[in-house]
Amino acid sequence: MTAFVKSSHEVTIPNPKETHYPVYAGAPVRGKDWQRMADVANSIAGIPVQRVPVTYIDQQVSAGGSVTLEFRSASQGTATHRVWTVQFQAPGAAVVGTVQGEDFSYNTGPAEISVIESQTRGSSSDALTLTVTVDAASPAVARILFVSCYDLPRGELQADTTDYGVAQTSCARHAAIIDQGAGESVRGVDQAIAQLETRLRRNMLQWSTTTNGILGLSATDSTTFQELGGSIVLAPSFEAAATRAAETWAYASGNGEVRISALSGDSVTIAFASGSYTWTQGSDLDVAAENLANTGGTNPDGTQEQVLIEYRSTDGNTFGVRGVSLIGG
Amino acid sequence: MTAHSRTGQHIYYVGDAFDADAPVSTGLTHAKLNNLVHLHDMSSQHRINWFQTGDLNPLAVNANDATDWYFLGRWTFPWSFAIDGWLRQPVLVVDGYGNGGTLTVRAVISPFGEANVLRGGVQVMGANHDAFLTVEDSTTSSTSGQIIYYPVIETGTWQTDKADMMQRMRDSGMRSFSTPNNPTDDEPVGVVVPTLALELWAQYDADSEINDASVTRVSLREFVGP
Repeated sequence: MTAFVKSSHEVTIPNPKETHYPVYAGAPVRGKDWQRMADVANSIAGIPVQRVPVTYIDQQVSAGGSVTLEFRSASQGTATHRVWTVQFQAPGAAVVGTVQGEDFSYNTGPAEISVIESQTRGSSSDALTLTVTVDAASPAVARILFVSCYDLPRGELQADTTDYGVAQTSCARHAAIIDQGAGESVRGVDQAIAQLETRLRRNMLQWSTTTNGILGLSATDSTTFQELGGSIVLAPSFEAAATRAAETWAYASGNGEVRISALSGDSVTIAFASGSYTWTQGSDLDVAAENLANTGGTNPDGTQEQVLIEYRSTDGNTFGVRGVSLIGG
Repeated sequence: MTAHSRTGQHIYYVGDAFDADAPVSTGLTHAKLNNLVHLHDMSSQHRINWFQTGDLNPLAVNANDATDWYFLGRWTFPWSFAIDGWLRQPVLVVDGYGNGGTLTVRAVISPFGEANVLRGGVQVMGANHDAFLTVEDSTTSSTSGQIIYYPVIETGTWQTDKADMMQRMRDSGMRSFSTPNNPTDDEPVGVVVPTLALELWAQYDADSEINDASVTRVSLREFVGP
């Protein structure tokens, strides 16, 4: 567990219940008090990201066994810890084991086990591995039903170029407007916004399975695309864009392709030519942005954006898929 | 880009009546201020995004359960506040599949979920399993096609009940999302994470020929609202 020592430079994240100042295009930016803007920027920077939306696993772990699940997801760059939640099916007998090295036990179910794990403050799409083990002495097999992961919010930010927190007092009335870099004054708010524009992501879809659950094609299978599945996703709305680019990733082995197609039209194919499982990034996929003007954020025609995930071998030999990820920008 | 006026003859202070013609530039433009609100919108998260994989049919409803409510599953997840301090509105999308008959899905979203105390001062408040919000929708499947429907939780219902939910949170002594903890060396810095739980129940009104129906996708996300 990473120790976190409070310093005198930390910034308290305020209540996000803010009053918006009216801002008029063409008018000078003027305010008696810029503190509220710093508050909003700090609140956004401290909001936790859902690293892995609740996803179905349905894989079992035998006594004395261990499984890993591979995910690829982005953080907002400020979280120092994340929470894994694993839901097990009722086993009918005691199960003892570890999730990410933390002990757990249960004998009734379904049971949800949550563990906190420290993490570096990366803002890129990190590869995450969840490891679940069951003690050899456990009389029952553990069945993993669902897995999710989310970042813990930050209650306090550093006023530096890592967290880009902004000291509220530096934006208070009668505070000097100065340029001291990140963390202070109106300039600090400006820099915080610039960072948030780059860092803030929305993890839209994360699918993973264990080595026992590989969706694979054997040598006798055809090389036509097989449907892995599909899900409903929506891109974040930003500056009224009709579409937003989402990162595409797949975790596969062999000579083959993973294709991700959006209902709105765009499609991305990720090619693999490796004998071992690797994360490979495809081109960005344009997915429809949710429409904030409509209840539920539906598209103008009332539909929800969906993606279809398919895979195929390109040489007729074994090709396996263990993970797919879609990260909104 | 100059962010202050120290090189000039006058230091400006917040609250001073300077304008665009004044020799002060903070780099903070109108567009960026607007972006700040957009960024807050973007911070709404996908909480559940599950889909049927291959032939797996985990959320199947057996036709023998035709007249009963069949429990499909229950999931807990954190939830975010909107910029006005209220919880964000949920949007739930459920797809179903069947070969005849009517599949009805009931979704129940309740606050807090299981009593769950996470190490490090992050607490999810104790068990409260009262039905908080229920949506119910049904549709009749075709013989071979997939049925899709969108039981979007209406804004009105959510707003009516969320005030009650917020009050429960306050009554429970739950600290504001914004209230910082007092971290110690071995505790992560964090704040209270409000947690919701989603339960899905289904009822399959099948004909006597009996084919099971199933829920094939469940997607739940936060929405800032129109």
